[in-house]
Amino acid sequence: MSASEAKPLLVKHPAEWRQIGIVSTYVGLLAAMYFVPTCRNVFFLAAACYFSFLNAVVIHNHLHQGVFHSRRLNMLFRAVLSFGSLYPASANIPSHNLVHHHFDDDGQPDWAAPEHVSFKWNLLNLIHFPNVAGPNTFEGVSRWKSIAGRGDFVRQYLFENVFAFGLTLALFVHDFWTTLFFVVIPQLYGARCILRINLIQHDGCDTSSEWNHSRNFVGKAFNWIMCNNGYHTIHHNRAGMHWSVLHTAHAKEVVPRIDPSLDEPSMVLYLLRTYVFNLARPKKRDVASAEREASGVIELASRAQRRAEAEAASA
Amino acid sequence: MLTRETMGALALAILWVNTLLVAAAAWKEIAKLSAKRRALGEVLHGKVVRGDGEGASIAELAVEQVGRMGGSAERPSIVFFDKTFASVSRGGTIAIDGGAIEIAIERGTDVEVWLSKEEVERAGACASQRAFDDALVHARKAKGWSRTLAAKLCAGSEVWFAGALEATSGRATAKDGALISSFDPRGWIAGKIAMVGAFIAIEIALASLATALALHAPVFGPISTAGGALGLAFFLLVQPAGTAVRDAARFPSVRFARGAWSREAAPAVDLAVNTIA
Repeated sequence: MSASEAKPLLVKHPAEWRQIGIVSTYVGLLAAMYFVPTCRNVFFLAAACYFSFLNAVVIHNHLHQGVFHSRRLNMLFRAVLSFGSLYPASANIPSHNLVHHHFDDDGQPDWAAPEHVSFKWNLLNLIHFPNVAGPNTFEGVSRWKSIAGRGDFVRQYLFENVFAFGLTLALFVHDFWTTLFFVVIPQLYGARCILRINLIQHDGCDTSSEWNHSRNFVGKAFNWIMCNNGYHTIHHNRAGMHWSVLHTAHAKEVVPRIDPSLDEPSMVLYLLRTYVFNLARPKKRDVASAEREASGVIELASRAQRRAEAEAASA
Repeated sequence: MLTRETMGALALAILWVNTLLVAAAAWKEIAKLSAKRRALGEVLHGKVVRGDGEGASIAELAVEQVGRMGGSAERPSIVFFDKTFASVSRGGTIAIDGGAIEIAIERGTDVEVWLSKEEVERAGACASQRAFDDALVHARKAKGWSRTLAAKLCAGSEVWFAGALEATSGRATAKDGALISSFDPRGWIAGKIAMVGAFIAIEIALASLATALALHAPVFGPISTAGGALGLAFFLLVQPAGTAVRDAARFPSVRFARGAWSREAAPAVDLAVNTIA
């Protein structure tokens, strides 16, 4: 076997070490704040909150394609990730991989559709969104797992819940206030922010279109730490594509077909412009006109077919 | 360094911002219900004297559903998921005030149909074990078993009507946008407004209780810790409580039907559960 054909050690793709590094850093920050009082400062807390969000991003990537060659390691890693975000990572399979990627739930709205919030002051929509998308998701997962043939999923889901909540409870018993302030606040920050991403990535887009259903954030440094999760359109259309090559596919397939407003250079500037400096929610525009006017056709499997493929791959 | 006091203040701020947002969202439900009450205008009470649809129905609530196998091979069930909701007018006549006024509903008129939860459940119930077995054959498959749950409002039923009328050929005919209900919509709306209002009051009260306990001297002592635990539990549980209230306040024309069929006796069909591969 040549060097180029040799499988990387443990992981399916060398880039996965970045994700493992992110999760290790996050757990390290939590441990530092928990065990070392001098680490309980603004810097560590802010870093832990940020890495908690990245932990949730890793959940997203890992539940699309497992990081490790070993199935057992992938399942154990799900449990670690679940503790990081205080929710069972496997919930992503029905909620994200199946329902959200299809933008609907068999005729009913996506559990995390932007339409679930409707305050006139748009900032309240951003803050409130997890209060709606979260319960929608867990209720939907509960209905989904009641279907026969999902025994493996049910067992793994239970394992992740027991691990995540059990470990957190143990920390509470040992030191309640330190756990609440320096473990649970970061855990919930990341979990709620990954729900908010659905609003940020899709509000004002045309989810019925093939290429203008998502907003992309294309900064290089941003996408390095976010493992290319800024390239959301191509991720929806090619869910099986490894995250490390999404930027290339975005440039080739998405850019010629997307409304320029859906390629944002900076998430920070977008958030400030949309939720802080403007009170009202931006009015919807016909963003899909860009793909109608684009030349060249790229064949995409129908959404029903893509959902069926995702369902088959979700064991 | 971040002291416990600073972090406690942060935690309480998070708790209260969230509590007020959930309350504000619930208040919007009240506003929606109130707007509906105002839009109804005058509500007329009467009886369906003629229905031109199947089973002498004047109108029906049609819920497209997909049923999928649940339970186990030994004790299978069929779990239903709602896809779409539609209110359909089949045509007929309503007599108001003991027949003093008759209102014609023409087939195809755009109406909104409200039926009680029990009426919808009855319409969706499994008719027989044979029906269960026939449905299960399809429910086992990935595509599931598609059906239309049709809950009907039939001749002889009490009915409440709200909407604009036009005089045609000496009779009153319902215009598009009418509401046809098997119960008094005003009472339903009032009940739901009271329910949501009670939720807001209880929610604020519980948040206040958790806050008071958490701030009980000595702060970070046993009672304060109980308050902190209550506050966390409240933060996590108020979210699904808020969406449950939202769902309970859905107008009956789009109320979730869902439901499940079960079979007590051993199934006639030899089942091999198709796992998701």
